[in-house]
Amino acid sequence: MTGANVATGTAVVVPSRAGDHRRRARAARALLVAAGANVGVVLALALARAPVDLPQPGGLALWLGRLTGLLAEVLVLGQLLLSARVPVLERAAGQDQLLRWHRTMAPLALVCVLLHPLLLAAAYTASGGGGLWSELWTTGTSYLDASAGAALFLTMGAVSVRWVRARMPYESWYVLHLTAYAAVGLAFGHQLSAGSEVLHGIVVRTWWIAQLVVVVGAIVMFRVLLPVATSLRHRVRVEGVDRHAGNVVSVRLSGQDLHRLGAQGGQFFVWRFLTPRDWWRAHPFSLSMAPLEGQLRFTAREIGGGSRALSRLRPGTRVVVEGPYGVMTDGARTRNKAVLIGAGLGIAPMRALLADLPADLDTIVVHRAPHRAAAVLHEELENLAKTRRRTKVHLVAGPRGDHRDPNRPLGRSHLHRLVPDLRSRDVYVCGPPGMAGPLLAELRGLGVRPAQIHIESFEL
Amino acid sequence: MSRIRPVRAAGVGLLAGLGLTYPLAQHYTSSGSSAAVTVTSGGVSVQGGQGAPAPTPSTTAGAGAGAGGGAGTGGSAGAGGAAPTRQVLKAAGPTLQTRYGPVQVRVVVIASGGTDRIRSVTAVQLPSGGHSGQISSYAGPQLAQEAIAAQSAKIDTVSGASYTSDGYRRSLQAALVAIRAAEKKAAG
Repeated sequence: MTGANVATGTAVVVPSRAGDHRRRARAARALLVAAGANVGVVLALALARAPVDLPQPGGLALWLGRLTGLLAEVLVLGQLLLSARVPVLERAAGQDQLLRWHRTMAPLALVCVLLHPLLLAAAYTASGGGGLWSELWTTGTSYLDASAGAALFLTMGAVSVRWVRARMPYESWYVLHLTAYAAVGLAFGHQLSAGSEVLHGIVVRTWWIAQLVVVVGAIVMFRVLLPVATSLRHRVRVEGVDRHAGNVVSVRLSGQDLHRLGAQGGQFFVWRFLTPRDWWRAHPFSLSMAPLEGQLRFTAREIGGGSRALSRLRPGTRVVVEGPYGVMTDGARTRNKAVLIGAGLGIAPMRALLADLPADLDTIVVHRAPHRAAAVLHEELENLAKTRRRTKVHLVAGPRGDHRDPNRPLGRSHLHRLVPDLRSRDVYVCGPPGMAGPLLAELRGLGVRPAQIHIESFEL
Repeated sequence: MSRIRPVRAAGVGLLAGLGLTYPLAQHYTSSGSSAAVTVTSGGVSVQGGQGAPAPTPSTTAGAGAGAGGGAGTGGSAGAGGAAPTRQVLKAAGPTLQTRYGPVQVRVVVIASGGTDRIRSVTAVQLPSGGHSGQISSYAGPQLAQEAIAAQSAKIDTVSGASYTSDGYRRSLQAALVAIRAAEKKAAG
C-alpha cells in the first residue's frame, strides 16, 4: 500500500535542473559578500577614527555613538535590499528566506538606532554638558529630522513584533511599514549634514550616497518598474472566480503570452487587483496552476481585509502582477524521486508543481487536511495523478494529534510508513508554520539532508 | 539546493572589506580631519602700520612656529630702533570641531601706544548646512559684535548656538593669545 514498490521500476533518469540553481546560489552569495564588504568598510572607517575620537572626554561613547549611527543606516539599507525583490536573490534563496533574514536584522538595526543618540548624549555629558537627559533633549531637538526618523523606526519595530503584528490588521501594519522609506530618507539627510565630521571628503560622501542610490534603485526597479512592465506586457485580467469549501477561492486569470511570464509550478506572484477599493493592497498567493498547463490560476483563502474581496472580483478586472517568486520548483530538484507534502492551502502550489514535474517522475503527494471535505483541490490532484504513471496521492485527514506521538499524522512513524524511501527523494513542503516547523524536524530526524528539502512557509 | 550561508558569506565580505579598506581609511582620516581636530595655534601675521619705522616683512607663522614669527618681527623692530606707534596684527585662531561643525575665527587687532584694540573678528568657518547653517548666519555676526564690544574673548553665549559660541570663544581666545605672544616677542 505504500510507495515502496514504486521505487523499483526501470531506472528512469530524469535530469534535474540543479545546475541552474547552483549558479544562482553563487550569484546570491557574491551579493551577500559585497554587502558584508560594505559593512567592513564602515568598520574600517570607524576603526581609523578611533585614535581621533577616543582621547576626547567621553571618547568611547562618542566613538561608539558614531559607529552605531553608521551601522544603523547600513543595516537598514541591507534590510531594504533583502526586501527589494532582487531577482537573483529571490531565485536563489526564496522570498520567505529573505524575509526571515530581513526580520533577523531588524533588532540589530533598531538597537543601533536607539544606542546612537544615547551614546552621543553620554559623550556630550562627559565633555562638559548638562545631565544625560538634558543632553539627550538638546540633541534630540537639535536634530529634529533624526529624531523623527528614529521615532518612525521604533514604531515600525514595535508593530512588527510578532505579538503586536498578529493583533493588528495587515493593512495598518503595511502602511506603517512603508514609513520605512521616509525614515531612511530622514536618517540619510541627518547623516550627510550632522555626520559631516565622519562622512567628509568627496570619496566617503560619494560612497555613502552610492549605497542609497543602489538600494533605492533596486527597489524602484524591481518593485515598481518591473511589475508594471510585466503587467502592461501581459495585460493580466481576472477571467473568473471558483468557490471551494471553507472560504477558499480559485481565481483564473487571462492575458497575453502568459507562458512567457516564466512562472513554474510551486511559485507565487504578488497580486494587485485594480479595483477602486483594493488597488493599493498587494497579496502573495501561490499558483495552483501554472501557465504552461494552459491556465494561470491561484487559490487562496479569504481571511482578513483584502482577501475577502477575492470572491467579489469581476471578470475583466485588471491585475498588476509581481513575480514569479519562489524556489520550490522542479529546478531545485536533486534526485530522481520526489515527495510533495502540502497542508491546508499549501497543497495549491504542490498541485501546480506536480503538473510541472516530469511526467514519469516517481512522485508521492501527501495531502494534509483537517477532514476530507476541507481537502481543497484533492479531486484535481487525483485526476492529475491518473494521467501520470508513477504518481501516488495520499490524503491524510484527521486531527493533529499529540506532538510527541510518532504515529500522529505526519509524525515520524507515520511519515516512514507513507514514504519508506524518504531519504532518496526530494521533499517539497508547503504549509502553515505550525505544520512546517515540526515536519522539518521530523524530516531531519529521518535522515533527509537539508539539500533535499524544499520548504516554503508564509506567516499571515 | 546548494545552501547559501548568509552569515558566512557576509562575514567573509566583512573581513575582506575591513582588511582592504582599513589602510585607506586610516590614510584618509589622518590626512583629512585629524589636523583639523588637534588644536593648533593660529598663524599670526604682524604688519607694520603707517608709523612703522622700517618695512617689516609680513610673517605668517604656523602651529609651532608662532614664536619664530614673533622673533622675526622683533628683529625688524630692533633694527628700526623706535617703538612702532601703530601696528595692525592679524591672527587666525585654530579650527575647533564642535558638535555641529568646525569653527574658526580670524581677528584683526590694532596696537597703538601700548594698547591693543580688536578691530574686527570674522568667522573663517562656522557650522554650515541645514539648521546649523541658519544658526550660524545669525550667531556669527552677533558673536563678532560682542567680541568687539567686550574687546576680549569674554563673550556671552548666543542662545540657541551654545556649541558654536563655545568654539568661537576658544578660537578667538587662542588667536588673541597668539597676538599677544607675537607682540611680546616684538617688544623684545
